[in-house]
Amino acid sequence: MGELQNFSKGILKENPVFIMVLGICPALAVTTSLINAIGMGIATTFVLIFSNLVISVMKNLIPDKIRTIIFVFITAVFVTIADLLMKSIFPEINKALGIYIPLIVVNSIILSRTEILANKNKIIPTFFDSLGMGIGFTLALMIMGSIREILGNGSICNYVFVGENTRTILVFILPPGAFIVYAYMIALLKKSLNNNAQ
Amino acid sequence: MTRIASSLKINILSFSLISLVMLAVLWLVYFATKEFIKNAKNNAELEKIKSVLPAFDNNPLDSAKTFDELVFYTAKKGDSIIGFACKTFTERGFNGKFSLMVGFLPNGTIYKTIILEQNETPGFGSRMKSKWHEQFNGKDPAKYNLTVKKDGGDVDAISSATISSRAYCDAIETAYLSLMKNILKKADTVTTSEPSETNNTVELKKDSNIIKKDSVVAAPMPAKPAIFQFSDKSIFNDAIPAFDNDPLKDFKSVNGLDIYIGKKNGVITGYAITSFSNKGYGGKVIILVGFNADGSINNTSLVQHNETQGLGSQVGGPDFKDQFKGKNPALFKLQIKAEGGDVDAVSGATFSSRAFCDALQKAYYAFLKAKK
Amino acid sequence: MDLFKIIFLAIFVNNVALTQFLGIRTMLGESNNIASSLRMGGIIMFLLILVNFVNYFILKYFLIPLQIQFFQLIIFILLIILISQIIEFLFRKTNSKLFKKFTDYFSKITTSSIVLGVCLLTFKNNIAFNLIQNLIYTISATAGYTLVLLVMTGITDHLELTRTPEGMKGIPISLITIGLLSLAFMGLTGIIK
Repeated sequence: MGELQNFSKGILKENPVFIMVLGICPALAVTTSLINAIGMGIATTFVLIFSNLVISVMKNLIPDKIRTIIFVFITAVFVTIADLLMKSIFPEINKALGIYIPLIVVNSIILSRTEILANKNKIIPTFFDSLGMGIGFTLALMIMGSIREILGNGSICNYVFVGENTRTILVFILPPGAFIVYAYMIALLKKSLNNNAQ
Repeated sequence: MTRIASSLKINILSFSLISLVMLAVLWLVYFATKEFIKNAKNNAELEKIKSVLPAFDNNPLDSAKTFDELVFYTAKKGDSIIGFACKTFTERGFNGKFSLMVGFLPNGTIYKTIILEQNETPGFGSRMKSKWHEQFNGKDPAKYNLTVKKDGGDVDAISSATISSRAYCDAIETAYLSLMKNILKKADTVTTSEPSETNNTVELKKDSNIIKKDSVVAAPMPAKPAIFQFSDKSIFNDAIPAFDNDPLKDFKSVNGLDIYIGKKNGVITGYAITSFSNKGYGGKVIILVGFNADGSINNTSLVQHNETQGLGSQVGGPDFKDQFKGKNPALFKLQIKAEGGDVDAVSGATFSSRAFCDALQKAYYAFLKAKK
Repeated sequence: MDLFKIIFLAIFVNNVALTQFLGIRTMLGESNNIASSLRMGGIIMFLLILVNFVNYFILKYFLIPLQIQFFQLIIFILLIILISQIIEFLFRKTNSKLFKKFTDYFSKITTSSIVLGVCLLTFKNNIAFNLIQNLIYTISATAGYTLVLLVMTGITDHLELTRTPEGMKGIPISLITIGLLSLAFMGLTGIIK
């Protein structure tokens, strides 16, 4: 598979959030504001790329029976590194994301990508695939984040653009809104991709 | 190179090797970022302090003091104190605990307040973040009643977010009380007393041990009691613990209230304060509170009131006022339970109970200011 | 904190599935079988009680005294995998068919966000809970999750019989249902001050 295709499939055709429906937890939890969504997306992409690279490099040193533990271990180390880096550079975002940064470890995107890909392929394809998946994830989160923030808070990137007393559609900021926006995005994207395929 | 075969020895070896390498990398990153993380935290805190106080040039984080889980930072410009920033919190939020930073000027007035962490309902309680909290700027809690208007105070609550608004006030009040108690131990001040507004023809309750108002009272020096004039020091026998001076002579005026000091062998044993509230059902209510030297309430009594006989007047009865005996207002919140406080109101007499608490509250503030 | 308050808050007000979005994937993929949902909930509770119990001591006597809290995540996840492997091994060893049924779930839940998530939530403020509160919270949180799981199992059954638009079939309609459940549970906030 050409590298470009490898990269681009993660963004649209096999978008992890909307098409493959992985990584549900952060997609719902973190998209209350655009900035949080971007932060989470970048952190996940970082962990995805680096842990996949390391595993791809070391894949011949990892015996089959203990591969799950080792994959998870390596991912956990990189998540902790990402957490520490975030705490030092963007402490506000880190606080806003809360427990969802450690939960990147069990993000299905990383686990499935590692299992399917890094375990078997060489470094370059792994890198492009991970990059594509990461960017696809970030974009998906950004879309959900902006919808929820604009409708639910009347702001974008914490900059409020509606008047002081305007009533915004609060439900979008709250948990039910997350589920509803997510459901509609999945339905929309699946439908449009199906239409394109036919 | 094909994958390594799996056997117990190789598994353990491989795992240990890989984990050691990864942990080494992690440790490196940890040490590299340790300083940055600490700096980032300190800078964030400093930013918050800057936003609640006027310009200062020291680093308040160097002089942080903690009293009862509240952290106080002193801000200075050169050698003069610009103000105090207090990191306070309340557990009474709608969704639990939230914290704020309050900036106090050296005389106890609130400069600005800002929310630190909150979990309140978006759109309702979370509106504490917006312009709503600016109403506290510049207010002096000694005169500005830190309760929502619904509870008889001066604060405009957020519509449909009364609990969050109350909790916000609670947090500021905790900070103020702690500030007064621990940091601003004021010397005796003689403030101008308010003109008395008592109704000369009010009938006094039989069981309040007070002399009728229109008897002649010797006015003690240096200032005259503004609220009520007692004629005999035996009034204070119940209020202040054992004293051997004449509290009527050892008197001062603070915040417009009359404070009488009881001493034994020259050591202060307690303070009796005449306080009042205009929020009674029938108008003005005057009480006499006795504080022990440690701040706990020794006794209270109803001096003058216009409440409904048999109903509101019961605030003068033992069932109601005995609950204050021995309580320290720093811990025992002087508001009725229906409004988030600790006081059992007289059933059917909420207004009168509130008024009593309001007067008690005022007395406590005056007490804090008065005691050295 | 009052024990009853912890239980009520964990099950209804801050339900781990409906407000913290944990374990949604497992909920969407569940079979339409009350018994299997109960088994899933039961095994999650059992695993979490053991894990949190061990974690409490590790955190209290090892991580905090040495000030290496950043290690928390690695230790948690390794413990989860380790303990689940041990339990799975023990269950397989017994000849009981009942226990063997449980072993199917281990692979699903070990790397599900529900287990690690409840773990992190329990120790969110380092050791805010003492040991008893810790156990009570764990049990209540997983009970809340099982409750939602059961409700969804029942609803999914009906959803298959209703006419849904083509694009909404399957995951989207389930997500919307969970969203409505979440909305319903939001009505319970503010009962306990």
